[in-house]
Order: sequence, then C-alpha cells, then structure tokens
Amino acid sequence: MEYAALDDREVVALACKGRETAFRELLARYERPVFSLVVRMVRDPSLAEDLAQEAFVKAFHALGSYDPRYKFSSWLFKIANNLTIDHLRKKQLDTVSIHGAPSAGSSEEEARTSIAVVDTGETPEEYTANRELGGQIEVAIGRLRPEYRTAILLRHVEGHTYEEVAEIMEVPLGTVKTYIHRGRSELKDFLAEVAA
Amino acid sequence: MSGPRNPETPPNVGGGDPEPERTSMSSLQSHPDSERLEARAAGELAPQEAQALDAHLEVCGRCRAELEGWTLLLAELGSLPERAPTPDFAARVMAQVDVERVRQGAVRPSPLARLVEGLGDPVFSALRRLRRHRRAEVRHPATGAAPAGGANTGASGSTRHLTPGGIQDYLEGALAARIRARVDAHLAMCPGCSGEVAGWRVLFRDIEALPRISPAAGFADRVMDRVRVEAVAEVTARQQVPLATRVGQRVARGLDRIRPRSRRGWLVAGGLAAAPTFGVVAVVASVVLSPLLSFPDLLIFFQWRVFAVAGALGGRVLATLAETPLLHATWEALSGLSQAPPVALLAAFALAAALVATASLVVYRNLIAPSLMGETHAQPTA
Repeated sequence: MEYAALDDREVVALACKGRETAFRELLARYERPVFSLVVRMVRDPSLAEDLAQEAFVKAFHALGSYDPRYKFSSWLFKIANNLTIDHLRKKQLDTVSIHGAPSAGSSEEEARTSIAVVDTGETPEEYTANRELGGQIEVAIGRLRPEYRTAILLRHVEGHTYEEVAEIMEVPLGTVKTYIHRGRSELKDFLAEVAA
Repeated sequence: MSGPRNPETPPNVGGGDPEPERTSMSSLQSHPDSERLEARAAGELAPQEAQALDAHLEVCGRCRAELEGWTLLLAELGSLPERAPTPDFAARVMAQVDVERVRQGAVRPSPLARLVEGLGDPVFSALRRLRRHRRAEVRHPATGAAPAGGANTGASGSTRHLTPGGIQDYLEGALAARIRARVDAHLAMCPGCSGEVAGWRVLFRDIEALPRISPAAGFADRVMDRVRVEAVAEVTARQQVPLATRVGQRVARGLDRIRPRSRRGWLVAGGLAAAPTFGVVAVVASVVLSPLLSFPDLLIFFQWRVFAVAGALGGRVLATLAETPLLHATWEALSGLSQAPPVALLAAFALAAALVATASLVVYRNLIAPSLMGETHAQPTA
C-alpha cells in the first residue's frame, strides 16, 4: 500500500486494524520530530532515545483512545512532552532555582514555583554532543527553562500554531504566548551576550 | 523571515534535512566590534580588511543585521541638511573672544574661536550632526541599549519606539493591519528600530533553521519490538464496538468454549438439560390431573398463600418500626406536648412555622427562581 498519499488519520486507522506497516509509516513520519524535541529538552541523545521510544510505544498502545478530530502530531507530541517533563522533574541533580512561574504574583509565589535547572556538569562526550547540536543557538536554547524551550521548539521548529502548542503543553493560550515571547527575549539576550 | 514548517507535511524520512544555514562556533567567536562594522558601512576599511569582514558577514546573520543598522543610520546622517544658526550666533561667540589680545598676539585665539571665525555655519551643522549621531547611537541595538517607550504610535516619526513584544508580534504577523501600517511607517523613519527588527528577524530565522535530529539507526525496529500490533488492533476494535455488542460477543465466545465437541457430549448435555425439565413437568401434570383437585381450587389455594405471606411480612415490618428508639422517642415527645401549657404549644408552633417559611424561601431562591429567570451569562470585563 502506498502510504505517502494518506494523511495521518488514515494511517492511524490502518494501524488500528493491525497493519504493522502503518505503525512503521507513523514512525517514519515522526521519529525525527519527536526525537528532536526530546533531545533538545534533555540534552542527552541516549536518554532522549529511550524517552522517544517510550513515547511511541505508549502512543501506539493507546491508539484506540486517539480522537481523530484532533491532529495526530499534537496528540503524539503531548505524550512525548509529558514523558520528558516528568523525567526532568524527577531528575534532581545539583539543582539551581532561577525563575518562578511567569504568572507568579509575588516573590514568594515565584520562589515556590521556580523551576530547577539541572547542572549536569557536562562530560567531554556531552560537551561534544552539545556542540554538535549546532552552535550558539543550540546552546542558548539549552539554557532556557523547559517550558520556554518546549514552546519555542514546537512553534518554530515544528511549526505548530499557538493553539496547538497550548493543547500539547496543556496550558492556556496566553501562557503559551508569554512563554514564547520571554523565551525569545532570553535567547536574544544570550546571543547578544555571546557576541559582545 | 521564512515561515514555520508545515506540521502536516511529513518530514523527509529517507534522507536528512537539507542542512540549514548555520553560524559556526569559530565564526561566532570572532565577531567584529561595532567600530569595524561602522567603518565597513562607511566604506572606511582597507580592501583586505573589508574582504575578511565580508567573509564573516556571509555566515553571521547577527553581524549582517548590525551592519544593516549602521548603513541605515549613516544614510540618514548623510542626508541631513545643513542648518543655519540663529542670526546673532557669531556675535554671541565673538563677545566671548578677546579680539584685542588676539590682534596683539599676546595670546592665540582658542581653537573654538578660530573655528567659529573660519568655518561658521558648517561647524554648527557638523556639531548638530554629531549630537544626533550620538543620540541615535545610544538607542542603537548594537550597543545593547534598549529603545525606550512603548509601541510605536504614529507614522510621523514618533519618538516612541517598538517594544520587544511588539517587534515579535510584528514579525509573526500578529498585528492588526492598522497597527502594522503604523509600525511600517515608523520603521521607515527609525534606523534604531529597523536595526532592532533586523536583529529579531535573524533570531527567528536562526531558530527556524534548527535541523531535525535523527535518532540512532534502528530506532523504528526497537520501537516495533516493544509494540504488540495484534493487541493494539484487538483493543482498538473492542473500544470501537458498542457495549451491548461486546457483551453479546463475549457470551457467544463463552458458549462456544463450553459447547460439546462430540455426539456423546451432545447426548450428555441434552440429558442434563432435560432431566429437571422432565421432573417439573411430571409434578405439574400429577397435580393438575389428580381427581381430588380442580383448577379453580388450585387458584384459590395460591391466592390464600400469597395473602398470608404478604400479611406476615407487613406485620413484621410494622413491628420492627414500632420497636425502633426513634419512633418511641417521637411518641414520647408528642405525649409530653399534649401535657404542655397552651403558650408553650403556641411558641413551638410559631417556631416550626418560621422554620418552614425560611426553608421554603431558600428553596425558591436557589432552585425555582433561577429557572424562571432563564440563562445567565458572564459579563465581559471592561
């Protein structure tokens, strides 16, 4: 069967009927987008592969609950993003709290909602891997807090609309706009700092 | 700015993404400073130096943006008209110069006095240009200073500059047409904001040029090793079938599992199913066919038994209720009330009536009145 002419929903329908080739088609379409998002979130290719695998397996076993009214890519990215964020939350190595939630109304609330940024202390291999990811813009994206990173990557690299990003991240639309604006501002500041 | 990728478009699966234009680490580490870029924009660099700088500019969008800002700035400075000072300018300057001492050679005139005397209007114009240049330079993004003020407010070269948020909305096409037109007009006249927008545009382009990264070879196989395709299909099919159908299918599968597979099995199953049936039929037949019993007698007998059983059950229930402490206490209270004075009875009645009225009011306001008034809507906030 020629899958190239089919859209995601049709391929999913075939997968639901037990066609292994349909599963492979979905993998071929989304292994790079999903892996790219995850690896830029965790900055560790090996770990990213494990998380991306887990996301696909979980999604495939839950295909019966996929609602075709929504985009398959949004549904899949939501699963991958949730897995990644869960992992980042569980990982507590040398954490340094830098920012609170953008919606925080007081310094106490900001402190309470601050996100822990993991200082992994790059190994030589990680250093090389990070640099291979592509220069200063990659390094700058790696320094963003996870919410900003996800929002910017989904918006600019994957081309999702603000509404789709909000659906994937399960946050209000206004919050997504805040994440993306602040994230881009931080990127610009960082790059200006490097250039100076 | 190139638009974001279409998410509906399947990624290039077989081959790698075309490698986007990217700024390398080494080139970023040797960014030219603002003075060199300004000199390049003014055409003041030596040919070899300009050639080396151009090679960097080819791979560095940020420096290109800064150069664009300098070019715009210098173009505006170059187009400034010369302005004449006020008519009494020379007189005011000369009033501060000791002409007599100059004439006698006791002192040399100050450089300012000599310039004013010799150059007059051109110096004044140059000073004005320099002042404007410095003011613009302070606002220029290349120096790191952010423009002051909020969003642009007019096409007439307003001094209110674009905010970072406004620029991002502008580049994403999120502004209304009227506001966008005003921003365009402002950008046409404001090199500072133009440079700032160019810098943001480069950032947008750099982010969107980030490549998709492939997992290690064999990723799909490793995923498929963990996916039980038949189970997925079975679960999916089950979820798509209505509940009644699923129950029927399960019953049918159960019956199919226990049905006899041989003739002897069918005989045994038939015998087991028929034995109770034969017994019941035999008992009924013996009763009905007995000469001592008629059918009306049988009906009367059953009717008598039903009433007897119902009466016994009803009496048991009433007896149980009568023995409960609550009923007993209620009875005692009512007995006590009958012996109370009339004033106390009247007060108790009034209290009970007030309670009933309050309860009725609560029920009306919360349950009945809202349904009579129709739906309510949230009011938009100002």
